[in-house]
Amino acid sequence: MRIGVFVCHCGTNIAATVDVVSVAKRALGLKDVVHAEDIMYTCAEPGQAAIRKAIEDKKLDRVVVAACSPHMHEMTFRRCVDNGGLNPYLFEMANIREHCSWIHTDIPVATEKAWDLVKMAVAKARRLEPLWSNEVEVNKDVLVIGGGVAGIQAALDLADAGLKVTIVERETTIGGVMAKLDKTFPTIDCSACILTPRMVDCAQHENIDVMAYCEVDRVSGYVGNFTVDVRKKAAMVDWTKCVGCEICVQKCPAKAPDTFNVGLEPTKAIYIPFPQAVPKRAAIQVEHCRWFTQGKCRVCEKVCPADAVDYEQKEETVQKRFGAIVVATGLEVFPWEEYYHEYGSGKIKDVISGLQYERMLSASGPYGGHVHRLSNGEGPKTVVFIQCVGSRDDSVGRPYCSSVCCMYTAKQALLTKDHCGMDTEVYVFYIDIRATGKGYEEFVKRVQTEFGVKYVRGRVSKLYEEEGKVMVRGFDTLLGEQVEIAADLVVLASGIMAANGAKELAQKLSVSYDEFGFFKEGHPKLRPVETNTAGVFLAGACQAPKDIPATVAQASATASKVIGLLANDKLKTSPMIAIVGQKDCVSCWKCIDVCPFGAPERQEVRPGELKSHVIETVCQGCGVCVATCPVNCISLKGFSTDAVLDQIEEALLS
Amino acid sequence: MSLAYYPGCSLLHSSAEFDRSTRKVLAALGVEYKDVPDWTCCGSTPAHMMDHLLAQSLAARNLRQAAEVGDQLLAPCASCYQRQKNAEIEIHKSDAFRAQVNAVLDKPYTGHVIVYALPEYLMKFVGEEKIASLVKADLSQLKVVPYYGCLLGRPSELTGECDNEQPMMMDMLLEAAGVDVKWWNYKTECCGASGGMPKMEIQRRLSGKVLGQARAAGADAVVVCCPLCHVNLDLKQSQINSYLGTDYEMPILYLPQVLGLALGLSADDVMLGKNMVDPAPLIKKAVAEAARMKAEEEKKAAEKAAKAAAREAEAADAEVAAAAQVAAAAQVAAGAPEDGVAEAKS
Repeated sequence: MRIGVFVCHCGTNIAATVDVVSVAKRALGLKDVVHAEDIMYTCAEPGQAAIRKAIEDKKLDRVVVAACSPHMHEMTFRRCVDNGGLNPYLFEMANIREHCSWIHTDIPVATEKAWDLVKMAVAKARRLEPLWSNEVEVNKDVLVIGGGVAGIQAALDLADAGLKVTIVERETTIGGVMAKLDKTFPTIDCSACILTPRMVDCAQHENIDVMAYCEVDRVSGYVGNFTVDVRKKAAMVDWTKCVGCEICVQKCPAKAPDTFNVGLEPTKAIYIPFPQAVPKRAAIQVEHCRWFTQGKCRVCEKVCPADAVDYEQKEETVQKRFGAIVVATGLEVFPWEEYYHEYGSGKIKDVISGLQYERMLSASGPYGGHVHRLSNGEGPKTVVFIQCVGSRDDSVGRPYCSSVCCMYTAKQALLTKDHCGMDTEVYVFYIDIRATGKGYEEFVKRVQTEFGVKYVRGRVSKLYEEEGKVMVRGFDTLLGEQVEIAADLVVLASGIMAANGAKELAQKLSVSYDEFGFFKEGHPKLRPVETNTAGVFLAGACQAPKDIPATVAQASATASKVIGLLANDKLKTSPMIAIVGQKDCVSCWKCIDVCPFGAPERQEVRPGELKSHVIETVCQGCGVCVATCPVNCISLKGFSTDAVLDQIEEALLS
Repeated sequence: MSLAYYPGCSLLHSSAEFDRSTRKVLAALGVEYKDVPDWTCCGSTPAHMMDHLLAQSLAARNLRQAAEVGDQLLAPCASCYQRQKNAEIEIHKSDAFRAQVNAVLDKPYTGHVIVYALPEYLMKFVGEEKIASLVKADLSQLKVVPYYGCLLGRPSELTGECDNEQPMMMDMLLEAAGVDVKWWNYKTECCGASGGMPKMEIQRRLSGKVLGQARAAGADAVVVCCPLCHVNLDLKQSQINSYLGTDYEMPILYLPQVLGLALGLSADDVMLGKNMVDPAPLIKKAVAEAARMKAEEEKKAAEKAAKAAAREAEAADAEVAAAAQVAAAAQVAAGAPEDGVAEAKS
C-alpha cells in the first residue's frame, strides 16, 4: 500500500496555529506512507496538481488530505483524485481547520491534535476500498408545495421550461398571503392586479396542474424518484361541476370565520375566499354548516345551478411521482393576541394587526376599502402604528427581524393619509427603520416628509381604552420622555412566523428546520435554495421572512436549480451506502424500524426465508442501521467498522 | 409542609383589615399556620435602596425565624413578599452569598423556606375548586376589577403568574368565589406608590387613572393585595377627587375581604368598617340584587317545571293510550295467523 499525505496551510487559517511542516514531516514516518508534503492552498489549482503529480510519480494508491471540513472540499478532492487516475473513494480527509486550528490558540497543543487527526485519517485510508456509483432514471415532474407567490413563480418558470408541475395548495385557492395585500411597497401598485394574472397563468398553463384544497401526507423516495401521497380534502362540492357562480355563498344562512379576511368579518359556511380565486370553487366549512351541525338546511344544494354540492364527499389520497420538490409553504402572521397582553390581548376592538389593516384598506376587502374604527364605524382622526410586534422581541421568543414590517408599515401609513385625508394624524413607533431594498429608503423618507407621518423612536408599553379612544403609552427615546397618544385606531406590525405545520412537513421531507420552523437552506451563502436533502428545494418565506421581490427572486433561482437537476436523464447515486451481510442477518428487522428513509426491506433469499436488504437507491448512508444491528451484519461502504475501530485505536493507543 | 405567617409592619396597623381578613380566610379554608416568632423589618424601601447586603440580611433574618415554625412563608403584603422572595432566591442559589449574609446575622440561616404571596399560596395549596365548594354568600352581582400593582405579579417566572402584563391569579380566585370579575388592561400600572411622598401630584394623577380605568371597565370596586396600593386608592381617594375634580366613590377591597365575604364571614370579621370608602352599601346592594335575581330565576324555573310536568303528564296519558292500542293490535295480529292456520286446516 502506498499512501500520500497532503497537509494544507490554508494561508494562515491552519498554519498560524498548527505547525503544518512538522506534521507533514512526521507523517512520512507512518506505516505505508510513501509521500507527505505541506501545501499553501491544497484546494487551489497548484495544490491539486501536486496531488495528481504525486499519484503518478509515487504510484500512490491512497490519498489523505489534512485541511478543512469535508463539507467544504471533500468533493473537490475526490474529483482531483479521480482525475489523477485513482478511484475517488480511495481518498480520506482530516479536518484540521474547523476541528483544530480555528478553535485552538496554543500552537504545540493544536499541532499535536492535528497530528492525531492525520494519523487517524491514515489509519482509515488503509481500510478504504474502491467504490463505484450507480445511475438511476430521473422522473422529470416537479411538485411545488404551496401556491403563494413563491410557488406560483417557481411553477411558472418550471412549466415554461417544459417541465410538468403540480402545485399542491392547502387552501381552496392559490394566491397565498400576497392575494390578501392591498398595495405593495415601494411602488404602491395593486397587489392583486399583479398577482391574479399569474394565478390565471398557472390555471391555464398546459404544464401546470393546480391541486387546491390538498395536503402532502407522505413523501418517500429520493432525488429523481420521489413518491408523494397527496390528500384531497373534502370540499363537499364536486369541483368538476362547480362553476364558481357564488349563488350558494349568497344564499347560505350560516356564518363562519373568514380566514382570508383575517377574522374582520364572518364569511359563510360555504365560501369562495375572494372574487379572483384560482380555482374559483366553493367549499363547505363543515364545522359551521347547518346541515353538518344541526342536520337541516341543504340550501346550497337546492340553489346550486350546477348540482355540484355533495354532502357525502370523502377525502381521497392519490399517489404521484416526482423528480424534484419545491417547498414554498410561506408564512403565518404572529398571533400577537396570545403574547402581547400589554396591548390588550385582542380585547380592544380598535387594535388590529397589519394584515387585518391590509384587508380593511383593500377595495375587495369586507369594507370596500373604507378605513374605519371597528368600535363605532367612524373614520379615524389619529392612527398609531406599532412596529416589531412579534419581531426582535426575546420576551415573546421571537428574536429575529421579520424584515418586511418597516416597509409595510410605511406603506400603510401612506395609504392611511390617502384614504382618510392628509389631515389625519399618523404616528409610527419604531425601534430602527430597516429599509434596505431598492428604492426603500427613499420611500420611507417620502412617507415622513411628503406625507408628514410622525415617526417616534421607542416601544409602546401599554394600550388601554379611555373615553372612547385607545390610549397609546410609549417612550420617545429621542426626546427621553414618556408620550401618550389618544388614538382612534392602532395597527400592530405583527411579525412573520413559519407556516403552521412547517415542522411536520419538514419531517416528512427529511429537511432541516430552525428553532422557529423555518426550513434550512443547504448553505447560508452558497446553497441558498437547496436543502440538505437532494432534490428538495426552497422558495420564499418558508426559509426566512422575506418580502415579495426577494421571494420571487428566490423562486426563480429555485426553478433554475430544479431545471439544472432535471436536465440530466440519469443521476449518479452515492456508493457510500449500507450493505447487509445476509448470512449473518437474524431477521430482527430493527434496521427497518430505525431507518429514516425506508431503505431496508425484507427480501426472500430462499423460499420462506426473509433477510434484510438495503435498497441501494433509497439509502442515504446515514449509518443508523449499522449502529443498530445487534449482530453487526450491516456495514457502511466507505465507512467500515474495521476502519472506524482502527481510527479509534490510533487515537487511543499511540 | 407547615406554614409560617409574616404580617409585616403595614398589616399591624394601617392595613389591619388585610391582616384580620387574611387570618379569617385561612381559618375558613382550614389552612393552619403559625406566626413567625420575633419577626423584624422585611428590608423594604429604605434598606434595599441603600444597601443590598443589609436588605437581604434583614429578609434572611425573617426566613430564619420562619424556619423555626415552618418551611413555607406567607407574606400577604406585596412588598414584604417581594423582599423576602428576592432574598430567598439569591440565598438559596448561592452558598457563597448565604455565607456573606450569615456573617452579618447574629445566628445563621441554614434553612430552605419558600416564600409565597397570598394569591399564589391560595392557588397552589388550596385551589379554586375548594374555594368554590365553600362559597356561602352569592357575590355574583359584585362587579370588581383586580388590581395587582407593580409587585405582586412581576417577574412572572418567579411569582408563578402566567404573564407580567396580565397576571391572573386574583382574577381566578375571585371568579372561584363567584364574584363578577371585569377585564381591564390596567392591572399592573403604577398607583404612584411612594412617588406620592416627594410629589403628591404624581400619586393623584396615577391613582386617579387607575380609578378611572376601573370605572370604565364596569367595576364598582377594586380588589387589591397590597397595603400601599390600598392607601393610594382608598385613603387618598377624596384627595384624588379634589385634585382632579372627579367624583369617584369606589370601594377598594382587599382580596381576603372579598373572599371572606364569599365564604360567609361577616362584615365585622373582615373589618369592612376600616375601609375609608365605605364598601358596606355596595356589598349589601350586590347581595340583595343577587338574592332578587335568584328568587326571580327560581320563580321562572318553577313555572317552567310546572309547565313541563303538565306536558309530561299529557304525554304519559297519550303513551298509555298508545300502548293500549299497540297491545290490542298485537293481540289481533297474534290471533290472525291462528285463524289463518285454522282456516287452512279446515
